[in-house]
Amino acid sequence: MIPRHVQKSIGKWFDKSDEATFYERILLQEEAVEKYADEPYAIRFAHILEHILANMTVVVNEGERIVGSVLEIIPTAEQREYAESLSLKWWGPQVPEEERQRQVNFYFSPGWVKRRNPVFFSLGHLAYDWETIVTKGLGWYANQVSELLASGEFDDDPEKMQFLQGARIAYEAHSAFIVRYAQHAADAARITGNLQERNRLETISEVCSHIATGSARGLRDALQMIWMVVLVSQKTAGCGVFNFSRMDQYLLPLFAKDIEAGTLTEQEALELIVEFYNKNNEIMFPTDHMSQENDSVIKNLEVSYDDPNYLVVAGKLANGTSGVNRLSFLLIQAAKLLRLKNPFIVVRWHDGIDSDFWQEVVDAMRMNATVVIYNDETMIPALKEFGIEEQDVYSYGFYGCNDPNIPAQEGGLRQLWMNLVWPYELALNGGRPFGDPSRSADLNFSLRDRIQIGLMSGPYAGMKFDPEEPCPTMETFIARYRQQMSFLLDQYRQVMEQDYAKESQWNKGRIRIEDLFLKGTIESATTWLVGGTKYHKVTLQGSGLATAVDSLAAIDIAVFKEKRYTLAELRQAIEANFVGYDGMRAYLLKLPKFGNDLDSVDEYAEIVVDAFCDAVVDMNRKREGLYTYMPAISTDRDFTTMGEALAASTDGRLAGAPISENQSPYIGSDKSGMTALLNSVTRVPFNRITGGPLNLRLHPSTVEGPEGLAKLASLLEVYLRKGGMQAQMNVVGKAELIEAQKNPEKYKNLCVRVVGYAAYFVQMGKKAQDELIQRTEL
Amino acid sequence: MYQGQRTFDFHSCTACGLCVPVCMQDALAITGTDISDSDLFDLLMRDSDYYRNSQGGVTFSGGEPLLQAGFVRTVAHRLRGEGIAVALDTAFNLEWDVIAPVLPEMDLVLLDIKSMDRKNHFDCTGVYPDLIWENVGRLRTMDKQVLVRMPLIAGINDSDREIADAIAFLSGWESLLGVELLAYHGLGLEKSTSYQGAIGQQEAFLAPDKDAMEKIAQGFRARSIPVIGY
Repeated sequence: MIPRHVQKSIGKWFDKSDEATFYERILLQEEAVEKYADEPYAIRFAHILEHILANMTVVVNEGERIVGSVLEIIPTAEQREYAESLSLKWWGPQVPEEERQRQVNFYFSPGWVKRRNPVFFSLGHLAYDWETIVTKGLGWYANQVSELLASGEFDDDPEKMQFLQGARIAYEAHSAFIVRYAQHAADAARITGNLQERNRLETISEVCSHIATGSARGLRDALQMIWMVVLVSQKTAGCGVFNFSRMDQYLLPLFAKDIEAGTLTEQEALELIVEFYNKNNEIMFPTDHMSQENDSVIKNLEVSYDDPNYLVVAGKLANGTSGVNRLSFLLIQAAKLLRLKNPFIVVRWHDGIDSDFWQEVVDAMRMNATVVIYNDETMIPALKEFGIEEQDVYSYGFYGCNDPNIPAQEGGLRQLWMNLVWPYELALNGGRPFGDPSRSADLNFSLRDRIQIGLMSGPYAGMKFDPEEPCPTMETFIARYRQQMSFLLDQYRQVMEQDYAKESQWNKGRIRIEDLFLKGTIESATTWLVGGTKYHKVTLQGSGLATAVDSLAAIDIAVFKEKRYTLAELRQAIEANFVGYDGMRAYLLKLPKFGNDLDSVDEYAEIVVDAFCDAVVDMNRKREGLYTYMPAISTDRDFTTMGEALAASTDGRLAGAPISENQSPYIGSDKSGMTALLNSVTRVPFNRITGGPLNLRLHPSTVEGPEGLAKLASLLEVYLRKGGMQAQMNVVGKAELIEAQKNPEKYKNLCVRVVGYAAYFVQMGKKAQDELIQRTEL
Repeated sequence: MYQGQRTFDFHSCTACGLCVPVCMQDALAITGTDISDSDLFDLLMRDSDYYRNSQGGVTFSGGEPLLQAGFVRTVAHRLRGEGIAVALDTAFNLEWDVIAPVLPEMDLVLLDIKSMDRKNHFDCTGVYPDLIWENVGRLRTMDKQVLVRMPLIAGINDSDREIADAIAFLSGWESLLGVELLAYHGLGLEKSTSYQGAIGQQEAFLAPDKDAMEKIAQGFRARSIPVIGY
């Protein structure tokens, strides 16, 4: 079912050396940077792009119908050294932090930024206006700019005129690049003796010469256009991690036209989608960018990593009907066939979704295809609460990792990882972090905190008060938690708003590649960084939910309900990291934990998340400048890092230990089965939360056969109907079971089915485990 | 402490449970908990949306749930009052007076048949099957949905004669949904040692091979008894 040339390409990718790189980009970029050094920023940007696109090698691979690849080589030691010297020149230690901020205000980690030249910069994480790209075409964009330039509207603003002139050069450079593909394919067609091959190449040539400036005539044109735009942005400028947004909506008219005219069958459409998906996989650098410790992450010379591009399927339409159509099915089927990590398919569930479609989706999930589900019924109210207008809200989607996005109406990722455990620690200790008194100084969000990835590593000082001040009820303690939450977030808001105000000054007249394809930027001749788009948001990733919930519930039970310990005693034990308090720690560890469907602890999921959301509402009320703030619940892999500066906590966690991951219970603490876990998670008021993942791990045996599929489809549907927001799952096989055998403490909740009954894998004996491991292989 | 090692003497254990909360590593547990019928009902109802949407329900299993027949009956009655399907997984080796009052509260009975040979049944399980067979005879007259489950061990209870007897025994039972053939597996061995320390020698049993299982399944199908899975 997967075309042979795609299979070959996948095989090649998995065998690819992590030394291989699109090296000519580096040389071409530097040539142009020198050559156009005297031009104003926007013009210089455009000429750099033009120079790369006019000279990079054009590659047409065997068998493919959708073209657009880069030439990779394995660089010599000298070549590598040269590339490293550039990174050093741009971002090395000799460049003061303030200067870096002036170049790029918000730049993620050094690993992310190091290969990106400050004058040709992008971090992606956004959606282009794909619909306009395919329905109007690149020629339309260039004409629009010409008209604006001729209109006289911006005549007295030289920076805006430069912005538009740069944009026109950039559009034309895109078109010329695609024409090079048309030419290359035509040349190749002329010399081949194989008739079939000649047909293939001639068609590629015809499609490319049309889409170089024209609008898409059908599905193939559209996918080819999108791919060319992605290839250019992602591979030359590092603008990746796209949200392809609602592909089953904006491509539907073209697909339907093809089917009606008989120029395309559904099977052919599926194969084109498979090719398109594989293109996303093919251009990835072979690594896991979330593992910054990986050798390959450090070696990577590319401006993009293994960028996951998100693609949105299904969901409600603005008129209240369902968006599910034939194309939605094909988009899922392609994911199921390939089961690659890229693209990342987001299915928007809504009440009353077509049940055949839902089965298709869940089937893909249980086969470990990269398909996740989101709930329209919670997402839409949440996005509205945080400022998205009715007319825009139905278009919502996501970019990596699980961040909400209104396509084409906003620029790239801005975030703060709001550690929900900090306000709890501060509430317990008079607004001061525990430990070394030097940690109690007025520690705030440093420049480093802000301009790196917004990771709230700490320690932080809160609103000071006397920790011995009486705390007669749990309500008092909760009020303190809320106060510290608001305090921290407002501190953050104030410093970030100062940063953003400066950024607006620094970026006047600048352009980034994404400005070419957003809504509002060209019309106003203004980069999104300065306000070109309608929306500007900072995603506030609430982190450590379960740790905060368990710790607050422990105080409620230990101090107020059971009166076993006083707050002062808990404080002493925490100060001592539980050394000498074994009995207390054993008691705290055994208190009810989030994830077991127990009201006494789960009610804190509401309390914590409401405290967080109310504080965000307050930030938005006070905000000055472009940015609004949106709450999500997410940690990515940083749940380890974010625990490092925290003291021990009253859930029994030791100082410096990780906090809980994403929306999950603390590792190993959910022991009551899948439905209990889901019931706990649904206590989170997700109708106020705008994104973030819940990772579920299932053994393949629990979801086998048609019966297993029906059960899983039902389970997930009930979860969403009860107010869950998102789910993604790993259906684990042999390798993970072996790992579970070695480290059972990390896999306490792994549930397996054994012929006629279910068991927790780690509670089974070694021999039984071995037997099951062998059986999984069958 | 024995020779510097922490040890656990199962023979002296009175299941007082005091060791459980003080064990930092969660290594000790009392298996089983006390719960009232209304608490169990409330607990099960927390998942009611899942039962209803999946057209699934609650199965009382064990051990032998009918050792607490009154309790089972009460909870099952309340669940069915909420429209939730209830099943009973039983060995059926109890007086009919105990079983009869529970059956009206069950939508489905899962019934084990371990051997069709009296002597073999005694050798394998320690009891003669007369009472079980008598109960099955009564159940057949009741128009109750039943699924029979047969664990099969090569050379122990899978002889042609035993299988033929089982087929004859189950033929013509209208409300029988079918049989589920369960090939032997060793997954329970560890369980038997985990609460008693290492005791006794376990015999090495084997499952019937794939062809044997298929032949047995065909035998049932030939007499119009559906085979649900094996």
